[in-house]
Parts: sequence; structure tokens; C-alpha cells
Amino acid sequence: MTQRQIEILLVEDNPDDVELTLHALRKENLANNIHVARDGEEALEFLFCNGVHAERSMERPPKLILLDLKLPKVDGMEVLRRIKADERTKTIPVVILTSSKEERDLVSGYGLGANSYIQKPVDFDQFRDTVKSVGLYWLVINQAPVAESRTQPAAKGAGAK
Amino acid sequence: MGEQFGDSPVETALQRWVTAGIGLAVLLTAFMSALTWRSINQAEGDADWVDHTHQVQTALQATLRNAVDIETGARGFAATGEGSFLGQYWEGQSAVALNLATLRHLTADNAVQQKRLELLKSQLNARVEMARRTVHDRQQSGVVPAKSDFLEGKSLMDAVRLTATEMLGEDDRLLNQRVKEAQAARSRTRIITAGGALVAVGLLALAGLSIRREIKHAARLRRQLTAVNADLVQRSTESRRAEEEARRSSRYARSLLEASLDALVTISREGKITDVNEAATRVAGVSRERLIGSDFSDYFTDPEGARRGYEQVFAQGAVQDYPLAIRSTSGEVRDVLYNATVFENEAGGVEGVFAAARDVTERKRAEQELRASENKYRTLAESLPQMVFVKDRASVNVSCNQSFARSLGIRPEEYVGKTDYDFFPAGLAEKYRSDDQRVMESGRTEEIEEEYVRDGQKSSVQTVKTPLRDAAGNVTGILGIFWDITERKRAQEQLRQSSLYTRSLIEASLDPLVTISRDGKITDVNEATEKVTGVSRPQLIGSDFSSYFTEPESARRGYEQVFEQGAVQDYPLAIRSAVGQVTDVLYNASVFRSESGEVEGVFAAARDITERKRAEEEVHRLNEELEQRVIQRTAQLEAANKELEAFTYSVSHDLRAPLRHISGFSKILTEEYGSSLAPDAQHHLQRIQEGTRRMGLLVDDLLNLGRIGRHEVRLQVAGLNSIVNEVIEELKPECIGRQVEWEIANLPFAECDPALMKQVFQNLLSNAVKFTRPRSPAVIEVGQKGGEGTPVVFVRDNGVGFNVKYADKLFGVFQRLHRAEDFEGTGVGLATVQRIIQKHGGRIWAEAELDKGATFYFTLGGSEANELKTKAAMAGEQT
Repeated sequence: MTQRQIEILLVEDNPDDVELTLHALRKENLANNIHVARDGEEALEFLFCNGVHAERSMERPPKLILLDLKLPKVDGMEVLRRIKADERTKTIPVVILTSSKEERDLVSGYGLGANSYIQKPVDFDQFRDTVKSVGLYWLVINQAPVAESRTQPAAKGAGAK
Repeated sequence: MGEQFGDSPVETALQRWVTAGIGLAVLLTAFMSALTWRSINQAEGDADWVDHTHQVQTALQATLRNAVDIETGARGFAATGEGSFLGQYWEGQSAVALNLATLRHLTADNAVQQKRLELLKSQLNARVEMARRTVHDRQQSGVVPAKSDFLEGKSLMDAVRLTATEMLGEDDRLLNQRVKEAQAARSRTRIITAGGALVAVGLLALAGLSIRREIKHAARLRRQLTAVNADLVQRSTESRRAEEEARRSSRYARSLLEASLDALVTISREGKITDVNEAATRVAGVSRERLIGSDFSDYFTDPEGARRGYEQVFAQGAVQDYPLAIRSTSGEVRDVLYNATVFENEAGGVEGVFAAARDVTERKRAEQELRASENKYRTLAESLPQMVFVKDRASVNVSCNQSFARSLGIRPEEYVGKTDYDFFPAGLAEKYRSDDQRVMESGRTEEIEEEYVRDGQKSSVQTVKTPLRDAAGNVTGILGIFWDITERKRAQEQLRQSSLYTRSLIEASLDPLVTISRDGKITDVNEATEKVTGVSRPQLIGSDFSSYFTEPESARRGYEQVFEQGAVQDYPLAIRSAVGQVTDVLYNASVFRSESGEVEGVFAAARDITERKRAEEEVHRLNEELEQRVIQRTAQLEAANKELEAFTYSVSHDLRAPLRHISGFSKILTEEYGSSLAPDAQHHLQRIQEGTRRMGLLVDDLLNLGRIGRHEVRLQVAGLNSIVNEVIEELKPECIGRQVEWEIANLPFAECDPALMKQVFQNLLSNAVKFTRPRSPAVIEVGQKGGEGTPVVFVRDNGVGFNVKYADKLFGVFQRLHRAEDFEGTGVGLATVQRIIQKHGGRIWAEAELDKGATFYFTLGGSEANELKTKAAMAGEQT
């Protein structure tokens, strides 16, 4: 199967939340290249191209990861930690998208290197707006880190980061 | 003795007899001794003879045996030819010769025996020869002797034996003869000795008796002689002594006269001095020679009186204590008392007057002095305030002083001659009298405390009674002095009572009390001390104070500190009783001083704090328990908190998500399919969304409330005004299109958590804004009501207020006092505010009037009392 460039990795276990998020993203035309991982393990497998996603290439990471915290199998924080610990993945922007506004989650998240922390609003309109802003910002406004030299650590020196 | 015997013929004869007797006795004794000597010699001889006879016997027997041996040996050899028999034969042969020689020697003195011996010898030879022949024959030719030989030999042997026997018999006969003779001699000796002894003894006895009698007789004579001698000697001595006595007597008499200090004179009928003594010459100042023959009366100041004196003696025979005054030549006058008698000569006629003058000058002077002194004492006695009296031996009044007389209400003269019975009640008088008698009998001065009654008034007096004596030392009366001691007694009694009272207080005290001397010894204790130490009072007193404590050193330092500083308070010690029981006490002690201000000792009281200590320990224990429990509870609370935290956390996730979904999908419904839905359906969808929105707010508020509860209040001093202004700014959007007047007073700086305080004001002010919506203008006041104590901050509005009937519901969670369609709200806000205020240690309350407005008051910490004060002050203001 031809691998298309996945732009957003949505890591979310709740199907309703998945649907609502996708609905919001679709409205803004940001949902074309989304992969949904339903748990932490799948998220990691996807990102590190192993397990069920062994055929994937690490050369084409997603442009944005929307990460829920409460995940089965591997917890959100753990996923975040793994992402930020690995050279190949640590530059991918991670937006924690969660219901919790707990201070400790904020601290841990930022501590582990999350790029952004957003509490999912209860109100759908607000939710939609939030998602839109997030998508717009990270996919359009924000300059993504350079992609090519990522898989060749030897050639790091050449590219500007 | 010999001399005495020599004088009398009877005695001479007796002496001769005695001498003869004794001589005879001596001779007899000598004779008997000689006899005894001879007897002994004879006995010796007899013994020798017996011995001799034995020797003869022995030798004879031996010879016989030898002969037998020879015979036997020869026969044996002859019969058998055995050489062993020859030994016997040879032995016999050699021996027999020896024995025969011995016999010869032994019987040398007896011719008959000698003859016999020769016979024996020849007989023996015959036998021996025969034996020899036999042996020789046998040896040479081995011939055995015939029977006839044997018979011959036997008859030879028999002849030998016979001769031997005769010899023996001879000897025996001789011996017997000798023995008999000896026995006879001995008997004779015995008789003579006995008789002689008797005679000798008898003679001696007689002699002895005679001698004894003579000695006695002589002794008697001698005694008689001695007695006569003695008698003579005595008589002569007596006569000598009598002379001597007489001489001495007269010398003695004279020297007595001379030695007398009194002037002695003898006066003749004519009144002339006939003799004087030394003293008389001295007192007159005239020599003896000049005195004798002079006129007696010349030497007196009153010669007439003197003359009358001695004439009185001549007339009456004696005169006593006749007073005169002698004037000596030097002019000195001496008062004398004359005692004089007549003295008679041997015929009975009066020879003269013997007069003795007693010098009474001194006595007179003494009497004068005594009188003077008596006067002095009299004056003293009279002037004394004490009462003085004198009674005689029978307790009859002799005299008294003025004071006593005055007390009795009489004149001193009226006292004399009466008795106590005249002045005092019978019982008292009886006592006084018996006291007097006792003192006078014992002769000792007594001090008596007694009753005294005058004019019906009773009082106490101290009386000193002392016996009065005359010159001879006999008790003649009694002197008494007494004074009133009623006051003193009362004072003493009071002192005693108070001392008793003090003592019983001390004894009643439950605290052990002690007094300690400077050297640390106990000087007094009360009963409580005895009890706590288990030691009796006598043992405690004098013992070391510090020895009754578990730490004697500490006890010692304790009392030393008191001596240094004057007092000590709450000094802890532990008393150990005799049985080992320990009591914790606190000592309070101080020094006590004597009247002069010197420190006498330390007075110490022990407060038993065993109970208190126990209580303290109990409290401590309880506290520790409490601490433990608190720690436990805190841990429990911690656990509960953690649980709550976890719950909140999960709620924040779990409640939100479904809400979001409901809201989301219903929104989507509305957007996508709303146009094709009936208006009812649309309305329902609207309500659904409203619901979710509301629930979202509720969940947020609840989570906030929970968070507040767990939140640690971080106090810092903050200006409330700045917080209020911030909140007002934030509320501006709400107030658009409305007329809201903010009246903000100067608010205090308070110690609070600014974030939480902001929430408080957010809540209260937004409420105020909300509930003043129907008002124009809406007036919202924020200020403080001070007064005393803690400041009270208030937020007042002129909104719709609420019914005070429901005031208690105001701060309840989810409690609303208004309908949701009138005024929105979750009903959690005020609960949250109250929580925050509580966390600050303050209180919040509200007042309102329906349709007029509401005021919310709160404090941040401070005492309840102060709050109440402020509340009261405000209540007063509001009317």
C-alpha cells in the first residue's frame, strides 16, 4: 500500500471523542491525513514503525501529534516520554489534548517536553474552535522541523535545524 | 624447870623415877633391837642352809641321772652296737665326776655325809666299770651282755640309788632340825620384843604424864606471880598519875583563866581586886601587880554602879549580865556585861567574888548596825509595791508592809496578831497555813503560785516564803513576799493557747513540716512528717535531714540554699520512707529568726506532688496518646485526601468526557439536521445543550470546591483593595449595558491567600452584580466595619435580597434560594466562599431583606469574642 504522508496522529481511546475531534478537523479541512491510534502501544508502534506498523518508514513522521493522557496499554505520559526521548521523534510537536486541568499533569507534560497543553472544553463549539486553532497553528502557521536529515544522524551537520 | 624441881624433895624423887623409867625404856629398846638383829642374821643363815640342802639334792639327783645315762648308753650300745648310744655314755661319764666333786665340797662339814659320799663314789665306780666293760666287750667283740649282766648292773645301780637316798634323807633331816630351831628362836624373839615394847611404852607414857602435870603446875604459879607483880606496878603508877593530874589540872585551870578573852577578876569583901587574868590587864590597861590590891570600881565609868554590882553578888550569891563600862588607861571605853558569883573557901565561908566581864562593845555596835540595817530594810519593805509579811512559827501575823496593809484595807498595826483566817476564805487560809508550816519545817525557801482573794476579787499571785531563823539557827517564823501575776498568767495562758493552736495547726497540716538546724539536723517535726517517713518523732529529731531522701546531696543543697538566700520555693525532692516507699514532694522553705534577728534554723514544708506528678504523667501519657492518635488521624486524613484527590482527578476526566460528547453530538445534530427538525425537536435539542453546559459549570465548580478544600492556604499580607479592583475589571463585560455604581471603601491589608481571596470576591461581587440586575442603578458597596478587634469586610448590594428564613441554607452546597429561571447559578459558589473563609480562620454570614438587598460579612482570622464585639457594635449602629 502506498503510504501517504500522515499529517496528524490522534492518540485517543474514547470513540466519541475521536468522532467529535474528527468532525471538527473535517470541518476545517485538516482531516485528510489523520491516523488514529486507540492506545499508547499502537501510538508508539506507529511512531517507531514497529509492531503492526512495521512496514512504515521512519522517514515520514506525522507533522502533529494530538495526545490524550488517559490511554490504555501505555499511558499518555509514557508515550510522551518515549517520543521526546528518541532523537528521531523528539522534534515532532506534541499537543496534549485532555479533559484534565490538573496542575500535576501540566507540570509533568511540560516537564516531559510537550509543546502545548489544551484542556478539552465541554462545550462543543468551544471544542471545535480549539481544534481548529490547534490544527491551523501547528500545521500551517508553525514551521515544521526539517524532515530529510532526520533518519541520517551522520548527516546532521549539513542541515540547519 | 630443873630449878623448880630441884627445890622440892618430892620433885627430886619424881625426877629420879622419870629418868629411870626413860632410861629403862631406852635400854629395852636397845636390847630388842639387838634381838631383832640376831633374828635377822639367823634367818639369813637358815636361808643359806636351805639353799645348801637344795644344792646337795640337786647334785645328788644329777649324779643319779649321770649314772642312769651311763647305764642306758652302755646297755643300748651293748644291745644294738649303735654308736649313737655311746654319746650318752660318754656324757654321763664326764658329768658324774663333776657332780661328785661338787657333792664333796658341799658335804665337807658333815663327816657322816662324807662317809656316805665315799660309799656312793665306790658304788658308782663299780657300776661305771661294769658299763665300761660292757661297752668294751661290745666294741671289741660285739658281745651282747647276758641277762645276768643286766641283773648285776641293776643291783649295782640300786645300791647307788639307795646311798643317794640316804644322803638326801640325812640332809633333809638336818634341814628340818635347823628349821625347827629357827622357828623356836623366832618365837622367843617375838615374845621378848612384844613384852619389852609394851613395857617401854608404858614407862614412857607414865613419864610423859608426870612431865605434863608438872608443866601445868609451873605455869599456874608463874601466872600468879605475874599478876601480883602487875598489881604492884599499877598501884605505884596510879599514885604517880594522880599527882601529875593534880598538877596539870591546876595549870590548866590557870591557863584557861589566862586564855579567856573575858576579863576575869576576883574581888575581896572590901571590894579590892585579889586576882586578875591577862584579859583583865589588857582591858584595863594596867599591869597585874598594880591591879591586885586596887579598888575594883576604879576602873569603870560608873564606879558606883560597879560597887553596887559586886555588893549585889555578895548579897545574892550571883549576878548576871550586869552592864558596866570599863575605862582603860588609854581612855578607851568598852561596854561589858558582868557575870559574877561568890566563891567559898573549904570551910564554907565566902571568900570573895569571882567576876567575868563579857565584852559586848562589838555586840552593841552590831546591834546598832542591825537596827540601822533593819530600818533600811523596813523602809525598803515599806516602799515596795510588792506585799511583804512576817508570821511567827504558828503562822500568826507579826508584821506586814504598807502595800499589803493597803491591799487588805487595814493599817499595818491591825495586821499584827491576827491570822490568815481573819482576812481570807477558810479554804485559802488553810492552804496558806499549811504552806507556811511546810516551809518552816523544811527550812527551805519556796516559790508558790497561788490564788489570792480580796474584796471578792480573785487574782493570781506569786509568793516567795522563806523561813526566819534566830541566832541559833532555829526557825522562828516565816517571811513572805508576793505580787500579782494575774496579767502575766493571762498573757501566759494566751500564749499557751496560741502556741497550742499553732501547734495543732502544724500537726493538722497534711504537709510534712520540719525545722532544720544550721548543721542540717532535724529539730522538730509534725505528725505528717512521721507518717511520710515512717519514723517516729523521737528518732527523727536530731537525725540528719538529708538522710530521708533518695538524693541526700540534693536535699543538703536545698537547705543550704535556704540558709544562703533566706527562702526556697518548689524545690523538688523525693522522700524515701523506712519501708522504702518513695513520695515526690516540692519543698517550700524559709529561715526563721530569733528575737535578736539571728537565723535559728530553716522551716520547711513539703507539698506532696505524687498525685500531681501522677496527673502530670497521665497528662503526658495522654498527650502522647493524643499525639499518636493525631498522627494516626492525620495519616487517615492524608489517605482520605489522597483518595479525594484521586476521585477529583478521575472526575475531571470521567465526567467531562461524556458531557463533551453529549454537547458535541447534540450540536452536530442541530447544525447538520436542525433545519429538517420540527421546532419542538430543535427546542429539545437546545435544552439538551443547555443541560450539558450547566453540568459542565457544575462539575467545574465542584472540582474547584474540592480543590479549595485540599489547598494549602499560603498566607501573605495583601491589600484587599487591589484584589477587589482586579475582580471588578474582570466583571466589566458583565456590566455592559447596565448602570452599576461601585462604592469601594478603603479595605485593610490582611494576611490571606491572594488567589483564594480573589475567588471570594469574584464570587461575592458576581453574585452582587447578578442579583442587582433588576436594579438601575445597581449599587454595590465593599467596605469594612472595624471597631474593636478584627476588621469585618462586607459586600452590600441593593439587589433582590433573599428571605432570611432560608439564611441557614445560604452556604449549603447546591442550595439555591432563587429559581433557576430567575437567576442562574450552581449553588456551589457560596459554599466555596465559605470554605475559603474557613480556611483563613474567619467567619462569613449574611443579612438581607427581600427586595431590598443583601449584605455579606466576613472576617479573616481573629477571636470569636472580638467578632461578637464587632457584631454587637454593628448591630447597635444599624438601628
